Amino acid sequence: MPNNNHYFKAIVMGGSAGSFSVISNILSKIRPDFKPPIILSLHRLKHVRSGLVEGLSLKSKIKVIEPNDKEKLSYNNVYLAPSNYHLFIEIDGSISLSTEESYNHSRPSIDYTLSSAAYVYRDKILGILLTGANKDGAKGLKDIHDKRGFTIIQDPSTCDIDTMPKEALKLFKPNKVFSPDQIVEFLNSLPQ
Amino acid sequence: MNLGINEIKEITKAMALYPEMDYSNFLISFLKRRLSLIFDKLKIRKVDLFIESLSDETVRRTITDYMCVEVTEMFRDPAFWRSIRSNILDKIPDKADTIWLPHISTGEELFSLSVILHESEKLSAFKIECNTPSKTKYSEIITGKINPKHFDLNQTNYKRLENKELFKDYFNSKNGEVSIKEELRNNIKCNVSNSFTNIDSEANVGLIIFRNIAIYLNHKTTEEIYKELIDKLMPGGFLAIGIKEELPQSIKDYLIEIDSSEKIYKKPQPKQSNSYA
Repeated sequence: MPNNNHYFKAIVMGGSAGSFSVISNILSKIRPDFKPPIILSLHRLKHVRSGLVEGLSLKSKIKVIEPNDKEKLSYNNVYLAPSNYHLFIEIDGSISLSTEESYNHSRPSIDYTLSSAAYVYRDKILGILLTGANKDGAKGLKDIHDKRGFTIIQDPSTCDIDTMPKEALKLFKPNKVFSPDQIVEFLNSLPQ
Repeated sequence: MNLGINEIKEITKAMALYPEMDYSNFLISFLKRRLSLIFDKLKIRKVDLFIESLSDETVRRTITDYMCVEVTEMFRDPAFWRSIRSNILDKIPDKADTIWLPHISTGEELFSLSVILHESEKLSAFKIECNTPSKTKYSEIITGKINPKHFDLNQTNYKRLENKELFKDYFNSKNGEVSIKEELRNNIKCNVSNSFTNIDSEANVGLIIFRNIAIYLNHKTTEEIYKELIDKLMPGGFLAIGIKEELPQSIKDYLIEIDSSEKIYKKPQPKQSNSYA
């Protein structure tokens, strides 16, 4: 693991099929005083409103919230995109939700969340793309890369379904390709 | 097309010269997405050309259509509609004669309400007032049209709500078009307007459904609109907002929370009320 001197204003993670257990694992091992807000955009059943926050909260060392529209991001929280809404980051550090058309057959769309984070935080954002079964998220992570943000892709050999990371790897070379345990180690090494 | 903030402001200023196209109170990020989409759809590459094209009424109409965010399903959030039916309809003040859905884009919310009212045998008790900024959407609403692509999803949502198979009986289907039956829309009064708060001053409004509309507006405008809506609501009437929306604290303190999950609030009677302003 490289010595890590990066400073990030926020962490944004996207995932689809198989990502729940990976994220649950990351949140269970992350340091409790982890400061930058973590924003999660995960594909989920649109008619099931509850359960995911509760499931992630069971093991998480950090509070997990499903935010309301216009809620301000704050330190030491995990924000999960609500089902059937797109989640965007605004210039003033607040969240905006949207019921606009599905993108990549998804709402929330990972691309939308990641691209908005890239636009707002530029080189002060860390984007992580996890296991998943479609291409959503690949372009958004590339947007982070293009704005000189830091990008991590889950090692496809550790994914339940590797379509999403492989689609991203086709588009650009990320800063890191990590296993879930390496992602945790990296996050915990970040200066707070 | 990747529009910058200054370009978006320039475009929005030009659009606002036409009363039906004033989007100056919308979130910049929303405008960026919508306008980029419209530039692509109209195959326009330059801001100057876009602004020039606004003089053409047909183009303005097309742009207004694209600015509308389609509500993609009827009975979105079945638990919300269950709460309206179980907790609200019987408690709307006796003198109320109107249910109001300001600034809708499509008929899905409106027709969901019609079905609920019909099944509660209250359809004739209220007129339903609504407005839409789009002339195209207006035509679809008054003829009862819904997007046929989403019919299965609508039916699934309805089944989650009712656990019945009645849904398709409420619709006519012809030549690939699906429309809600006329008897379910006789009491709907719709007009074309970009306003969020205009309604017949004689209306006794007992319920306002304003879901997932303020999410596209800036903070200041959102608060102002909520205040105006509440002013136009009868004491004892109800306001419903989107399940992931939050009222400004001063307004929340003034209203009585009826359903915290489904975000339904009641306006207090005058003797209970304190000013929220």
